[in-house]
Amino acid sequence: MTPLDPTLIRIGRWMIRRKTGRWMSAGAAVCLLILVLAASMDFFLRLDRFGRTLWAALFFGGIMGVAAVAARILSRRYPPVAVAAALERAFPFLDNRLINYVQFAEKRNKGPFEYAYLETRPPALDQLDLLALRNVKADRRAFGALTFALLLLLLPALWAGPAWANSLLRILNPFSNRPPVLLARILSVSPGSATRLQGAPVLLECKADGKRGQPVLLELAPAGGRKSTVRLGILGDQQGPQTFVFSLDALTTETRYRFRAGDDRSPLFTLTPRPPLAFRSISARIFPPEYTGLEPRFVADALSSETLVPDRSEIELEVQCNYPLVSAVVSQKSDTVALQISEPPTTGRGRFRFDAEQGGGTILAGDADGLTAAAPLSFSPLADQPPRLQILVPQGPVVLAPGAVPTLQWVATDDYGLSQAVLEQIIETQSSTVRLEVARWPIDTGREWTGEWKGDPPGTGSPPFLVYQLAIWDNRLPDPQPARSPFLVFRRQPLSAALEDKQKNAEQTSGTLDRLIRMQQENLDRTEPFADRPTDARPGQWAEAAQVQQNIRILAGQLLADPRRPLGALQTSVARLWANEMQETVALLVRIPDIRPTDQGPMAQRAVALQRRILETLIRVNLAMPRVQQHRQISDLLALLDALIRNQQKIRDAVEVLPPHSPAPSGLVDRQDGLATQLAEFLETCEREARTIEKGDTRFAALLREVAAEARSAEIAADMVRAAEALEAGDFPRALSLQERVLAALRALQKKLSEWRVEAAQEKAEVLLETVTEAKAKLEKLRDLQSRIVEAMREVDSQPDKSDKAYDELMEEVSAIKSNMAEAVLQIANDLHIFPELPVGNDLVEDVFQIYEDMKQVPGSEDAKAAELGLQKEDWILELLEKAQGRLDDMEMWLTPKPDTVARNTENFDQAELPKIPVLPMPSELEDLIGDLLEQAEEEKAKSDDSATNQGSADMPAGWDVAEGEFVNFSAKGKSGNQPPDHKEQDGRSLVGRQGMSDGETTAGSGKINEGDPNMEARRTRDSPQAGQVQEEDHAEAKATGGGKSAGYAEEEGMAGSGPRRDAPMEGSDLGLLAQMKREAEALYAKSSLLHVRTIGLEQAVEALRQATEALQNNRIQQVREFQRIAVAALRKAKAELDSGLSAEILPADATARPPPDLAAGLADEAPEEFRELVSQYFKSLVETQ
Amino acid sequence: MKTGVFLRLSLWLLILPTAFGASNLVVNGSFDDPDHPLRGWRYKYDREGESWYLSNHERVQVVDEYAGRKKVLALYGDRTILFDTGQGTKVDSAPIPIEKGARYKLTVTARTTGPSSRILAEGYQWRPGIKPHPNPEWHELRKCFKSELVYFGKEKGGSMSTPSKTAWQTASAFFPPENPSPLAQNLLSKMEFVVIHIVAIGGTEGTLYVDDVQLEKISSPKP
Repeated sequence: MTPLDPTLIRIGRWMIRRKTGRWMSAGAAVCLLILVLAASMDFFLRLDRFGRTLWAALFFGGIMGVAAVAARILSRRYPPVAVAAALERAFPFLDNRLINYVQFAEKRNKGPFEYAYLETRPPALDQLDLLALRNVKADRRAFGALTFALLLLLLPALWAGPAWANSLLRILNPFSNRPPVLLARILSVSPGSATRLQGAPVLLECKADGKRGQPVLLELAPAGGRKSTVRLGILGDQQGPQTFVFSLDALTTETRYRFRAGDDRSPLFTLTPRPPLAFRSISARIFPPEYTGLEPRFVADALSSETLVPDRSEIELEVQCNYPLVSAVVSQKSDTVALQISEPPTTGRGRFRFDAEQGGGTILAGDADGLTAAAPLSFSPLADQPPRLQILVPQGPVVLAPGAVPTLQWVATDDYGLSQAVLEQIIETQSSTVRLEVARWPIDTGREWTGEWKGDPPGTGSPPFLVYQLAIWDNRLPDPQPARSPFLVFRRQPLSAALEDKQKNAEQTSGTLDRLIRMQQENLDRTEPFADRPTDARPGQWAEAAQVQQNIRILAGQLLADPRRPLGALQTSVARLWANEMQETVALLVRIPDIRPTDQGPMAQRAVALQRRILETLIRVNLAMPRVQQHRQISDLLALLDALIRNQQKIRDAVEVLPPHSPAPSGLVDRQDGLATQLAEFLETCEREARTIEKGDTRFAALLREVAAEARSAEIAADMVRAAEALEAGDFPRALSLQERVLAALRALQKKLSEWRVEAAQEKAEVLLETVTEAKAKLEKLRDLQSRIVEAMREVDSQPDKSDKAYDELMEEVSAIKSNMAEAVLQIANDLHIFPELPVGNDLVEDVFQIYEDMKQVPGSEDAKAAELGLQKEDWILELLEKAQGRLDDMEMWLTPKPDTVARNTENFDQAELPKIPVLPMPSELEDLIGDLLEQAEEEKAKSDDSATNQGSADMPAGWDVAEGEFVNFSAKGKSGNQPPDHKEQDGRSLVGRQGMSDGETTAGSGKINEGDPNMEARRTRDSPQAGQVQEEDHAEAKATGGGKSAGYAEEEGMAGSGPRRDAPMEGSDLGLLAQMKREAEALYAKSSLLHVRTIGLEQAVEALRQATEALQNNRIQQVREFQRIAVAALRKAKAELDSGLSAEILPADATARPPPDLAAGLADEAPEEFRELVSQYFKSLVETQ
Repeated sequence: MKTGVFLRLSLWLLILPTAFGASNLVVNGSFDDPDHPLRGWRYKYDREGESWYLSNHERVQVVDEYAGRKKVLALYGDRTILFDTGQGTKVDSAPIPIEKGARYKLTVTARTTGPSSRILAEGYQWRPGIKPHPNPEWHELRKCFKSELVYFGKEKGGSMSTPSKTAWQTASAFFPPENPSPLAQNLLSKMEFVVIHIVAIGGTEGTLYVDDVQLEKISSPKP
């Protein structure tokens, strides 16, 4: 160690400190620059936390780096030699003395020279100015950089103020929540990231605050679309936040957006579109109330399928939506039931009670996005209707003949069942009305109950009127619903009085008919002169005629409305007259003055013709009336005798079971006694009627007298009285014996009358048969006459003289007929000649679906002229027909915009030339293309009909226009198209398509015959029937034109053909059944009339069935049920009539007759509730009058 | 000059929001999707029954520019494709859900160098047995309706329509028909979706260019 070493070491340390200071200055400058840079970025770009953290890490990392470098430098030690060298370099005046000194001193083996040198004084280091050792340039740079960095750090503060310091602090502490200081600030954005309804408008709203003039922008970036920026405005002067709005018309795709206000910007939000909340399915399990007896029912689609739900049913509902639900409720008018949201959360389940009065209900669902869906439940309330009570007998106030008993017959129906019925007798006194329960029935017969009640014959002390009311209750729980009959009134009246009334009625009817005929004759006389010249009529003449005609109709209507049916079997003729001719005549007469004079003539002629028809019918009815009345008289007498026997038999049966030695019930004695009176009246009636019948039927009049005489001589009435006395005395065996004798005598009389009845019926039947045979003969004569006319025409054809004009005209006609005949014969021959044996696949495609095309017809094409096209037979066609390697796909195909105007006349192949045609298997589904029929002038349509053809192909690539071409095809690619098929025979295979003449095979398992060629001819080819049953949709009238599968149905017998008869597997159609019922009822009615069996009910049933058939034919479905109901009621009434005598004769229910339709629409027992009280009051007044 | 720039800018600002709110129901109707210009269109046909169209996609493209319009659908057809076998070259849009009872307007801009066009809306219903859901696949649908064609030019009828060869033409078609027949009503009631059907067919060899296919709802169902 040299003496200089301590000094040198000290200087070395000084040098290191200087160096450290320089390095630290430079490092600090770098760190500050990083800080400034970071703060600047935060100031302008508003770094997020991550960015700030990154910059802070860089800054603090720099500081740590600088510190590390400084520490490393400080830890160094300069050796004395190095320091000496540095001093030598800094102080040249030392002249290497210092370095030499230090080196010699450190040398181990010093020489003399070194020792000598060391003896000299070393340089005085203490006096050296060490500052000369500085690296001034480096120091300047370092400190300059530091100064610059500091300036950069501080100067922005002068411009930005606290905002700069805020940015610095945000960088220095990146974890602080210190917000950046901005020129503008976005306060809120609505709706932020949200899910919104697809296609719905969305309002984007931004609230911002800041310096004036700062722009507010919206950046939009639809997914898959172009990004864009919309300028919404600028911040204004006003204090406080401002709102900027942008309306997105429809959100169709996922869209990201953010707002920018000045230097502030919102986060990036996303708008996600979604479909609306919708119901995927709503299923329901319906539990009807127990008393209905209905089984629970599952409805898979309660959303669209209309479902009838009985009132008070419990419904378990399961709702499935396309999004998870937060709520689901079922709402009926006043009740709301919440459904439980279950797994999966798109499902809601619940149970509620269905109230018919509150309607079908609505289901409301809501999801987490606040979207709602509502759907009306397709539940139609099926209210439990009150029971329906129909009184069959009586249908009005009834006259009870002596000894007759009040009889009631009814039918009660209810939706679900009946529980009980009560019959009450209404007894009116001066002070009050007493209801006396006569009978009570518990009912367990289900939904329909037919009942009958027969009372006791009214005694001599009974009131003149017996009034009853029947009440019936259904099985509804807990409150059964009642139905009450109107008051059923029976009036006691002697037989003679009743018959007198009938006679009066007959006279009235005859008088009315006379009046009608007179009025009609006068009206005809009034209008007939003007039939050819209607304008010659004076003003008001047509109106007067119309008024008279209207009066005729009203009068006829009153006659028809009389429930006693005074016209009898002629009722139907007059009723049809009333409904058709009379109505039309009135309408015509009213309209004639109002139309153009040129049109008045045909209308007036029609009106006159109708009046003639009315007059003829009325005269015919009037002439037939005596026979009708006589027929009715005879029927009444026979029915009276039948009733006598039946009543006597009943009394005898009652006596037989009486216990011996007991008094007979007084009612029985009265009834037996009453029979005697009844018989006496019957005999008197027989004698009186014999006088009136004498003119019409002498034989029957004599028979009646004979019957009366025999009855008197047999002392039947006396025996009846004796039987009554024996009964009263308790001598039952004697009474029985007398009753047996009475019965035998009465039956003898009945037999006598019945023999006449059968003989008369046979005679009438023979007359009828004879008439029909004559009519048939007349028709045959007419046919022969027609044939002779044709023959005569043919003879004319061969006449040598052909100069006559009439002959020319006739020739033209004959030529036309001949031409048509020749064409028809030729066509049949052609059919038999050209068509090959049909290759049958018996392949049915069940899935055939239709496409409708909205094809615009080319304007003017409907009148395009038809042209002919000749097509000769070519060999390649045969090759095409034979060749089929697989079913070819379809290509672009459309309906033709122009009607077919080409008549293709083809040269056909002989059958022997035709190859075996391959039959390709059908696909699982077929597509049909259909459109509305194109318009085409009828004339051109007829001209463009093609000839029948057998040129064809087994398959074809179907494409382009769907049109009628010259080829047949066996691949069933035919579409229904938009034009009718040509009027010709068509071969091949196809779908069901349009109506037309075809003998090909259909491959569609089902289909509807659409509108097509209306001119169908019933023709047959030789094609055999094929297997399979085609389900026809709707019903179209069709005719047999060829082979084919059994499809559709018919109400009439079809044409005889070579194929086997195949009945449909389903039951017959409603129309067919109705027609059959009508025929049977007509036959029964005719038979009953011939045998003088009471037939008013049957006649009504026939009429109702006829009307039902007409209604069904005309698609008036709602009326069908009503007419059927009337028919059933009439049939029941007919049955009741057979059991009753004259006692069930019906009198008018009220004084004013109603026209027939009203009668048909509502019977007496259907009187509305509000009128029942009036009826009651009416009967009360009757009682009081009596 | 400055005025011109200002006007253009104002116009741009005016149009831009409207453009974002447009009610076109056709996805990528202008064929300018940056990633896939035919996004939303079916042009490859390889399902059963489509054998005529197995190479259809080779004749379909979107050209960057044609006659002043950018990103235009081009359907090419030679005589064989257009006429001899005549299946045509076609594209179909993705199924678009529609509202029953509403009326729609289909608008298309087109131009041709030869082929005629059949451009229409085709209605589809769910195939039997398919449970309805929001994203139908082609095999789940079945065609039930074809609208009237988009007719270019004066004549509004016929089974094809030929756009101009010298200028772009824009034309529209409306569906469903205003007073449909009972037959049409029956099938229209089943319609759930429509597909825009564009086919180049008939005419002479060349390319049918189509752009800006728009489908708009013009009226809501009558109550």
